[in-house]
Amino acid sequence: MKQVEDSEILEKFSSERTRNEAFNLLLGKYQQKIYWHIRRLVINHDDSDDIVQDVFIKVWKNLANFRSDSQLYTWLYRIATNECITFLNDKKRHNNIPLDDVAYDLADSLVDSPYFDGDHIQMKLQQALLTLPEKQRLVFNMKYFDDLKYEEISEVLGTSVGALKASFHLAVKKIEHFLTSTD
Amino acid sequence: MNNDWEKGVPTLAGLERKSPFSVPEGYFDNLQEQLNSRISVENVYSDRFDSKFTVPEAYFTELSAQIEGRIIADKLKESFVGNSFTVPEGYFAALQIRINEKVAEPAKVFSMRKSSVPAWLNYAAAACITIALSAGLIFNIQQSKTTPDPAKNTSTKVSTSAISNVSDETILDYLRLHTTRADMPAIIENIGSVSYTVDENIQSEDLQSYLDERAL
Repeated sequence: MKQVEDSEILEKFSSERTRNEAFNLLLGKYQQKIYWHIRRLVINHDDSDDIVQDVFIKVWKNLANFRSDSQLYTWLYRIATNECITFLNDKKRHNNIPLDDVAYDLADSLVDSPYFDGDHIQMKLQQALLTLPEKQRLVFNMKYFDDLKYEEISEVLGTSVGALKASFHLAVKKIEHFLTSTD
Repeated sequence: MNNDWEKGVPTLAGLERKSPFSVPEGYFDNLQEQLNSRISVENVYSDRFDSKFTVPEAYFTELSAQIEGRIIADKLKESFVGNSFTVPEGYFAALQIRINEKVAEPAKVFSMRKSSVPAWLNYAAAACITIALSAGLIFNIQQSKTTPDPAKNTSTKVSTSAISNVSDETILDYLRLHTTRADMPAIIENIGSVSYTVDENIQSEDLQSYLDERAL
């Protein structure tokens, strides 16, 4: 099925008459990408479900103000990323634990999750990712799994391409080390 | 994707690049529906509340003055820290002891002894008193009807009728015991209507002395 262009979605959304249709087109096109981006960051499906809904509610409320100086999907990624960071910070605050320990918490939910189909090596990869600083984990996920360009990640995170390349390089080295040094 | 990063990380590079996560069956089919429902709710909520809030007239023009006033009040409060009242030394320690003592005092016990008088007798007595009072009242009313008083005030009629039944001796005894200097003008004013018989054996000096003593 031919995917609808972002420009068409935006045009339809600008009209009251076709706004709902435009939003459904946007959901059809991006809901899974945004969901998986969120899921890789917060691990738990129920948390991801809450966040993805909050993200699209924000999109509905703010899409009329969207300016086409950035791409629609990088704007969506930015909203989703911010929601995830807010969620993780809240989790840290509510449980009164440092951010690094949130990673242990996430690792536990990874092991207990009924919705994790990966094999042993996939589990190790996810555990390795949870040892990374938040920013490196974000960069790695967007580059490795979502295959975004550094320029696009730069738009999402507001970080220079050079800094992103360094982050990704460091993340890759740390993950390799984790994979080879643990059982 | 540019795969330059794969150099030097053979284990990671050898992994199949797929998501190990899964979602409940039919999740994405329902997600769109759920989102549309939530958006409908959000729209109703925003229609109902967002645009309906108003503020009193000139609220924002007065707001800055109110804030400045609060700031000044808070500064004043800070400069008057503490309590200017004092209590005697050791007051609160003693207070607690005194309260505890009060609390520890045994409560007074009142005996609820049962009356030896049978209950029916109480009711009978009450009925008798009611009958006697009613009869007296009826009698008084009839009396006042048969001997009309020129005074219009009903209460005056009743009191005049009541006084007429009191003997002169009782009235004199009362006056002897309870007369004060303030009553003298009234007694003198009415003295003409009463005839007094003074014993011839009483000396006028004794009489004067008696009057002086009674008049205080």
